[in-house]
Amino acid sequence: MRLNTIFAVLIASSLPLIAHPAEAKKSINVYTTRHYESDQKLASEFEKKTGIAVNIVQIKEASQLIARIIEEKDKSQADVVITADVGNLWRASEAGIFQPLASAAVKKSVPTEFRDPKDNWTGLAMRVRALAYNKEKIKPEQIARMEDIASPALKGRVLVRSSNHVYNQSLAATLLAANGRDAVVGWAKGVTANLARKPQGGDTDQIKAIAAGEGDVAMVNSYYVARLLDSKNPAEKDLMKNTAVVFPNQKDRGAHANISGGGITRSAKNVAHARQFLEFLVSKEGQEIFVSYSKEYPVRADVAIPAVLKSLGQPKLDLKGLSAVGQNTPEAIKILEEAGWR
Amino acid sequence: MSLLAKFFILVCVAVFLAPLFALVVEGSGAFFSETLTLSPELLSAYGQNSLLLLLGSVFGAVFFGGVTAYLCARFEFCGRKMLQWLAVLPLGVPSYLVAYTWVDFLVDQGVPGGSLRNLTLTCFIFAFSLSPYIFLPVYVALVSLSGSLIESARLLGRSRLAIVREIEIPLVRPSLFAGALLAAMEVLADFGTVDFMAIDTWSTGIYRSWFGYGDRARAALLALVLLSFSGVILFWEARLRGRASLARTGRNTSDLVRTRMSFRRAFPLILVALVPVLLACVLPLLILVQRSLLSFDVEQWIAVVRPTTATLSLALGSGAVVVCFGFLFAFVLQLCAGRFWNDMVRLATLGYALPGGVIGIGLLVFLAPFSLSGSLVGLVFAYCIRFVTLGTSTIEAGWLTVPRVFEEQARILGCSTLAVLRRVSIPLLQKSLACAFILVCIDIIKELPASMLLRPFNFETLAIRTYNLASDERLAETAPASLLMIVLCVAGVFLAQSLGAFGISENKKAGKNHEQ
Amino acid sequence: MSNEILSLQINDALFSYPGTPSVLAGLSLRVGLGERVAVLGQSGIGKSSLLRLIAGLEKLSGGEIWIHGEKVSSAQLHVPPEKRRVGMVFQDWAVFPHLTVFENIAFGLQRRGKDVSERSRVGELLTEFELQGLESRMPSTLSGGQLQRVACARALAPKPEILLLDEAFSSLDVSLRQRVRQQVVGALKLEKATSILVTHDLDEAREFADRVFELRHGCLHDASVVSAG
Repeated sequence: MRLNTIFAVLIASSLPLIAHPAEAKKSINVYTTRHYESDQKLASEFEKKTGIAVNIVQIKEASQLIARIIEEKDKSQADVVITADVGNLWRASEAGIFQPLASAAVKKSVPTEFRDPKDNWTGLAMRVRALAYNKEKIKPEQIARMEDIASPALKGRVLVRSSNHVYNQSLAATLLAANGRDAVVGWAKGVTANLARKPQGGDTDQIKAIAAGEGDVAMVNSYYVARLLDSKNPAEKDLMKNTAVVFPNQKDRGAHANISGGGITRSAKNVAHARQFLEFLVSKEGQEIFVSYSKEYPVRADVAIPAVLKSLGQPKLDLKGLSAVGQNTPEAIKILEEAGWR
Repeated sequence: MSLLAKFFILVCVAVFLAPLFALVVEGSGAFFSETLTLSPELLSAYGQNSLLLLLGSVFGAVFFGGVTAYLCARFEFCGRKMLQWLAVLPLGVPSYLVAYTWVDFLVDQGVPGGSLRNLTLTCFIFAFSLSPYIFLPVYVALVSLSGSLIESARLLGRSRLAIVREIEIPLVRPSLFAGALLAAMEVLADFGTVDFMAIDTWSTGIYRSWFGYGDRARAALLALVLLSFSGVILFWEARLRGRASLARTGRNTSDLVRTRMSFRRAFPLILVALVPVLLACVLPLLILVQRSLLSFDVEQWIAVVRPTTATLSLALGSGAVVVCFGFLFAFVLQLCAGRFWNDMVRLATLGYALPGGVIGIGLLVFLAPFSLSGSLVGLVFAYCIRFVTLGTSTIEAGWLTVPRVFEEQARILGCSTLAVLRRVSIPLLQKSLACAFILVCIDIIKELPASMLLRPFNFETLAIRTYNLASDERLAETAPASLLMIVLCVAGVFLAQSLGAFGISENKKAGKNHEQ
Repeated sequence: MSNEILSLQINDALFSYPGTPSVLAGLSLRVGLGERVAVLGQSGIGKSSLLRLIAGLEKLSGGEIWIHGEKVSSAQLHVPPEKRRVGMVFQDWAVFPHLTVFENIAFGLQRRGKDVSERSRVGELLTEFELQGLESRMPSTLSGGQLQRVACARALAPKPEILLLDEAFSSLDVSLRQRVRQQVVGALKLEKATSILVTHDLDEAREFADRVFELRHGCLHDASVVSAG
């Protein structure tokens, strides 16, 4: 039977996949929500240096990643968990999936405000929430504070992405910590009333919308701005021609930062290697990879930042608000939702 | 059926239902949780969006698929065979890629993004990419309608339109509904496309409850509501089909001769028929090719080699498993009389209507205790639950065209049930099996959320790569992965067609030959 | 009941499809070894159901069916078709389209025919039905008359206790019908096979059978003398 043969060949061709060679090498297993080139580079550099292979499972949604570890319980193969955004780190920590880092090297390299008070995780890299604006239509003084984009003067000119995204959720959570509930409710209503279009797309889409004249000011993440400024594609570079970026709240609490961080899981089988990996990530060498490959801000002071980030300026960061982000997030989402910020 | 067989089928059904059961357990927790949650107003808005999207998309798909099917089944014109081949191609392009490329392209052309992300455009995206789900079954049904039926109606003075209304539509309705049902379930389960298009549907509500509020119980409860809704449609469709008594007969039908039509007269209709394939297959392909040429980078192409082999072997391997289960269930539906068994199987195949991520979480709960999460076994299992409906319905449709006398004859000649399957049914169903296999493979290649959640270490599929790059707003860099994904799927569609798997090739089918 | 073993014995058979008036209402029939019986009746009267009941494709609601001295059907008992040793030729012959003529005829031999050499038995039947030279042809290349003979040969190959013919000749051209029928009757005589033919054609019934019955109101009536209604 010809078809049977085809079937047999097909199934046989999938065998190599099933018979995955068991690796005898030293290795650690990482669950991460990040999917950047920098992280691959870090893994391969680490392996080159130590001979410890880094196996990666990447799951975009932190909630799913955490769910997987929770369900896997003691049988989880994960040694290290890395997620973007403090809110997610807090959630993971609350779920009890971490064990203390207990690393002198991490303590030495990373300032306290970028680490979990309970030593469950350490910050690895940062992005900063900034405001991009049309140079011709907005003066930077108008949007010196994140609170300003709710002002009636910006009616019909503000661009944001959906409140489904963790960036907006944790930003609102820090505002809650800084200003209290009533203020945030007013802010969310103000922003929603100012919207140029319904919340949609990613950060790059907001910048595109400014370039296209759909709106004049947008919340964006430093990473996307840096990437566009550094792009080899002239069309992408053009997007930033009329657009400038300002870090808000420089004169008060500082700008909101999205911190990526990682920790060692409770079920880790290779605790020593896992610790070694995290120590490498916060080492000078590791931080340089983060900075140069994904245009993020380092968590240690002694790492030079690339020119494109320098051109944006070294922002003052709101670090006090971070510890409350996790706790405040559900409340923040509720407020955004009630304001009609989809 | 022997007791052993019954037991085996029950076990299979139970295993398929396990993740759903996990959802029920999880969802029931929601009644007791006091956490913050989506407001009722928001939920009703989400539900309303889902319904509108469902209706718009399905009606659109029925229109485009139906017109194409009628045109190809009833008229002869220059390029008809070509059109028949083209009409199936949108199957090869995931609807989220259609959305990515359209919006990216139009925004580059200076169309404001804010005006693009709306319900109407999303409906069109689904209508185009799901139109083959309607075209295929309706075309086959139209062609296999007895020509004498149509001719006698014409002799009785009915116009062509009246015949469509009074005879053809009622008679192809079961096929039409079966196709529309698959399309509807795809729309309900979709997350990627609606999320990108900024449409809040029930699915996005599920995701928001879970990812936003971290409230899995509530997410599970919402998923159960979605599931019950699909369940109701599914059973309703089954009842409807039952009443239309699409009985298995072996009666040969006199083929209706297609009416000749000049290309010029056919042109408007051809245009309608071409819209889906042009917009939901050719245009995305062109945009992606253009993007990949614009920022050509050998590294990017080298980086997709591993995902490609992984995707391919995963699709082929799990496709085979899914088809085996699909065959088992189709067998129960076909040869084991009894409503109980029918309902059991329908229940077990409900997974098609669930967003992959939700199936994923149900599976996680179920697989993790056996250390099967993050294993290929877990992934294959997830695909089984998600796609077995597709396999079952395709094989079932094929089975309906095999006259029952063949199986009866085999039994009289001394074959046990298993021997009948081995010696008669399976050989006669070869094409349907191949068709089911290819359709399932295509869907596995396109599948995203369950693959992402349950995948093993160092394992990336083309869909995951595409999504990651797209969600990082690097659409140009998705080109190699998404192009390869489309090429694989379209190649699958071609392969299936050349096997005559969709029943639309010109060769006479084997099942027809016994009567001459 | 006599002591002689009958090929087929039906006692007071009751049968109806769900939700319809009864098809068989206490039907009885006794067929001796090697006998050829024809059952006449209008279409839709239940002739095919009678054959399907004997073959085991339907379940009896009441009464009994015995084949070669063994009870195979009653309200409680149901021996599946594959264990009944009957052969059947359907109206449209149901020649397997995916198998050659040889494979079709040999189909039923593979399980039962261990005592019979498969090849020689098929050869025998090919000769009896004048199908020599067609062994490796696919059914799609055969004429109606040839297909009909393949179906008969296939049904007879495992030497069934009873051969059931369900309007087996009515799909053929009138000119062809008589010739094929004679051929089949010849082969049946040669095989000494018991057979039951269901038909609506009185002449066909008379020519084929030793005894002719008419199925009316769910019972059989001797129609060897009176003409069919």
